[in-house]
Amino acid sequence: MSEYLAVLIFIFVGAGMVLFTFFLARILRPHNPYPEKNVNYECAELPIGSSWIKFHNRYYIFALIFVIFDVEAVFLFPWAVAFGQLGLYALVEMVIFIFILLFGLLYAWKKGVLKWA
Amino acid sequence: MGLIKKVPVYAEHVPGGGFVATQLESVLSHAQACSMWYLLFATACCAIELMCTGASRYDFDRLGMIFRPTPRQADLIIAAGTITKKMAPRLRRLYDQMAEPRYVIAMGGCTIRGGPFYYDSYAVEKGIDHIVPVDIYIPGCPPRPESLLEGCLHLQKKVKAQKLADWHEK
Amino acid sequence: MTRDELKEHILKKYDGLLTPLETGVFDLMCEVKPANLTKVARMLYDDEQLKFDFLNNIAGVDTGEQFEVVYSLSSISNNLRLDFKLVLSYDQAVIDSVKDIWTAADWHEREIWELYGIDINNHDNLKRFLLPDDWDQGYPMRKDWDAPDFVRMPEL
Repeated sequence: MSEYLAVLIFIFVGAGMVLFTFFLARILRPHNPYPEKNVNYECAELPIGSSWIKFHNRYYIFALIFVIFDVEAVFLFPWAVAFGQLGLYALVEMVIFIFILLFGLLYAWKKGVLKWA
Repeated sequence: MGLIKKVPVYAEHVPGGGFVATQLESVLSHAQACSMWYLLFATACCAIELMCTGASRYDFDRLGMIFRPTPRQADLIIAAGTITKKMAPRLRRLYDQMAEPRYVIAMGGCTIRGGPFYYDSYAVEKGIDHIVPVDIYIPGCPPRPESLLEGCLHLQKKVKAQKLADWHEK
Repeated sequence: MTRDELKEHILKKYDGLLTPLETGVFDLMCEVKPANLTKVARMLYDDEQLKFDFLNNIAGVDTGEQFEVVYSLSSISNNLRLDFKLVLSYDQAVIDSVKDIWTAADWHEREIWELYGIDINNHDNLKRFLLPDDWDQGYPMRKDWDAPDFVRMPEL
C-alpha cells in the first residue's frame, strides 16, 4: 500500500506543478482581450455561422478505406525498389497481399460504402 | 493581471530591486527580440523577396524568425506588398487578433506610401500607417533580402531597448 | 472561314444588325445598336456557320465623349474570332445582360456596372465585385472620376 502512496504523491505534485505554472503565467502576463481580438481566425475574413458544424460520418469510412490503401502503398514502394533481389517468391506474396486488400474493398463496395447519397 | 508590468514599480521599494528589475527587463526583451515570429502575410511581389529571405541562402531562422500561420502565435506582421483598399480591413483584423506585444514592418514602397500605385490608382491604400501602427519602414520595390534583414535587425534593436512598463500598449 | 469571309457572311446575314468597322486590328470589329444586343448575341450563338460559343471578355471604355462596351467572342468549333461594340451616351448608359447566353458574362457585367456605372438590365446578381463592400466614391474607371485621396499623374 505504501508504494502506491508514492505514486499518489507523484500525481499530486505533478499536477500541482502544472497548475502552479499556469497560475504564475496568469498573474504575470499582460491581459488585454477585446472583441476584435477574440474573433475566430478565418484568414482575416469574418466567420459566417458557428464553427461547430456536423461532418457527415461517411467521411470516417472513406478515410478508413483510404488509410488501408495508403498503407498498402507504403508496403509496395520498398517491395518495388528491392524487386530485383527478392524474385518470384516476393511477387507471389505481394499479389496475395494486394488480393486480400482488394477483397476488403470489394466487400466494402458490396456493403454500399462507396455510395455517397 | 499583468503583474510583470508592475515589477519595476515594486522593485523600487526593495534594496537592490532596481538592478533585478533592469536585468529582468533585458532578459525578457532579449528573449523576445530573438524569437520574433512573423505572420505568414504577403500580398504582392515583396512576398517573393520575403520567401527568398526565409529560404536557406539568407536564412531568416538565424534571427529566430519563424513564420506562423495564425496571428495568435505571431509577434510581427511583415506587410509584404501592396495593400489594396479591399485588403485594408483584413490587415487591421489580423493586427487586432495578434497578442501584444506586436510589431509591424512595412516592407516595400507600396506599404509606405502607395509606391508605384501612388498616381492614378483608385484601389490601393496609400501607406499602411493609415491602418496599423508601423515600427519599421523598409524602402525598395521590392527591397532586397539584405534590406529586409537590416530592417529586422533594427526591429530587434528597438525591441531590446524597450521597457517593461510599455510592454503592451493599445 | 477567313476574316474577309466572316465579314461577307455578316454583311449578308446580319444586315443592319452588325455593322463591320475598319478599326479591328486582329479580329473583325463590328458595331451593334444597344437595343439589338440580345438578339444579335443569340443569333451569333445559334448560327450554324459561326457558333460563337465562347465569350472571351467584355470591356468597358470611357472615351471621354461616350461609353463603349466591347464584347469579344470566339468560336471554339469553327476557330473564329469576332469583336463587337456598343456605343452608349453618358445619359443613357444601360445595356441588356447576355448572361443567359454566355454565363461568363456574369462577372464581366458586374465589373462594368461597378467600375463604369453602366446599368445592366436583367442581371440578377449585381453587387460589389472588385471594390470594397462599403465603397461610396462613385465609378472609378470614368474619365471624370475624382476622390479625396486620388492623385492624378502630373503632366511630365
